[in-house]
Amino acid sequence: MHGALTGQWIPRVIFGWDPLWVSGVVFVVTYAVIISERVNRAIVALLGAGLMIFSGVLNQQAAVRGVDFNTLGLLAGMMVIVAITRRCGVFQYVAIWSAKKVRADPWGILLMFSLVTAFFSAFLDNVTTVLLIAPVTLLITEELKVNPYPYLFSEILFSNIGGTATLIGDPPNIMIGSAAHLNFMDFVVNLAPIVLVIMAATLVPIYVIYGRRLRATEEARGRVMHFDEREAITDTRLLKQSLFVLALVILGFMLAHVLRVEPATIAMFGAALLLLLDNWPRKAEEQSRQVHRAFGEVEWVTIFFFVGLFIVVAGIDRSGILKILAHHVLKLTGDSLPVTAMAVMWVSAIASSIVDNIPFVATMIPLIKSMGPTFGGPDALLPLWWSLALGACLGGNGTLIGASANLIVAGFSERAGHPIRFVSFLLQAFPLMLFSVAIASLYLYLRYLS
Amino acid sequence: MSVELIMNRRPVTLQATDTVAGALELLLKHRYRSIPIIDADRKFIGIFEARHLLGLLLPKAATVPGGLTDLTYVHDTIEDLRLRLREVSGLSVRECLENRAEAETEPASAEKTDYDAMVVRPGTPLTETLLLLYRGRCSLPVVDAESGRLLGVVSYWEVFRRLAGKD
Repeated sequence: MHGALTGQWIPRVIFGWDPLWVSGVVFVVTYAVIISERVNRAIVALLGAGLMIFSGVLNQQAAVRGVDFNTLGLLAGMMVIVAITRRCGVFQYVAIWSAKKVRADPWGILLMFSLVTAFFSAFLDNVTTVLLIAPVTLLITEELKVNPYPYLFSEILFSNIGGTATLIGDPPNIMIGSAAHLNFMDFVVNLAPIVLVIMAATLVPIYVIYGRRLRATEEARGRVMHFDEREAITDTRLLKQSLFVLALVILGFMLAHVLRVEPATIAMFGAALLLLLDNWPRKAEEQSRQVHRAFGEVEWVTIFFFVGLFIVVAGIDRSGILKILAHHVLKLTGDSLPVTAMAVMWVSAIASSIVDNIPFVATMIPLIKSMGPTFGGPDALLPLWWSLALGACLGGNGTLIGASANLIVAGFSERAGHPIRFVSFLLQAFPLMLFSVAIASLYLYLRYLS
Repeated sequence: MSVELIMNRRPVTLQATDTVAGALELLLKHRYRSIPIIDADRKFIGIFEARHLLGLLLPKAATVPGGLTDLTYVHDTIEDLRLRLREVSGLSVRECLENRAEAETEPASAEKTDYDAMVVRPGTPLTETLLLLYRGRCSLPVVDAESGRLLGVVSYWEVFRRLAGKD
């Protein structure tokens, strides 16, 4: 498992250098280059991983042990399922259906689309969710002749907020769940309630600033009401199969601890099942093509980035840097669990708003684990895990670069002639992010720390 | 043998300041698929294609890279399209070109907006011209390299007419 230490591995570093320094330098350089975005992050992570091994901090066996295959399997499995599901048009169906439900009222649609985004983000990854909702949003706002910015802004925020609610909603949650042995229901029971509160709370300023001023003519609304959402479904058979497998997979996640199976198995099995259903009627050659295409939609760049990242972090974990860091953090917080939990949440939120939360969370996990003995065992760390999850996921709303989903929407919006400027987004989103983290802090305190 | 010997030296053109409405009229009158755009000095600016006009009538959500892949659920009528046309009729063709250039930041689109790919020089050999036309260009502006001026247009009609022994 990720970060597990087995036995007395003593790194034999080249030239007899101190493993602490070597691993520290590789770590810092790797992260610096990733943040600078000068080189593709997968390349950097893999090179960093290689350096950790070549320099002797890790050997290959230890490196492989540091890779969390549960996270990777869950990610890959869900990527395949989503890639197949989105082909049938179910997303456009839901979007149009919900727009018509509110009689194409501009504020109603803003509300509906935000909720739809949050809901989908909780079960699919945020990037796919926004890739699906942004074009439909643009279509509807064009028809209504309203400014798309409030809609896209809200969707960005809600994709990150919604993704916080479940184990599978956001990669940080997957990583934390995997490392801390927290399952799907643990996340739902502990985080979903506060996510709902934060969603409601975030809608208030959005209504005040944008919502109440949105107007559309009867005629424009009529055009949208004439959309026929049933025609958005391009493949009814695929729709039924996808929804069936998705339901099965979610059920599997909910019963994971009863079934004694981990999420990766459930996701991968679900993916294979859906591939089977989808390809059953096809001839061998066509099957080969379709399976190739389905696997082609897995974001291998992300997967390999994770592999390299896990190994780099395993390097600084093994060499003992993280234990030292943890010790310093605890000195600063006076060995107090409440103070440490609050610190973790706020630091994670600020850090996640500026840099990608995945490398940050990957580093924090073993760091928090080494605090276990101080607080009385791994079970006592629960508040810290929730605070990391909340901080890292909600923090992504702080700036445009806080999360990949943000950048995807910004890029699409710009190409469509409605650029989302970094500073204007920051001025509106950062306060809202702080607001949401404040609510989360209160919740954390009331529920776990008092 | 080079292209300037077979090109049409008096092609139908659009001025950069002409409107979309004017472009539509010309397209209808001559039944062309594309018309070159020039400025007051006869410098070549770009090409206005019939499909650009179609693009103006479609929602941006579908024409932008990464946008919607189908619009089967949209039930616009001819009246709705006429309304949209009315909105864009006043745009100059130059503005249309600029808007398109902004939107297409993804090189994966089949239409190459690379300048060199859409013009030929007066000295371009005949066979190379044929190849460019074969690869999907229905007509090619012949542009002088130094002055940037439009000297003529060559399409498959010019080629076929010559082959058939006419003019």
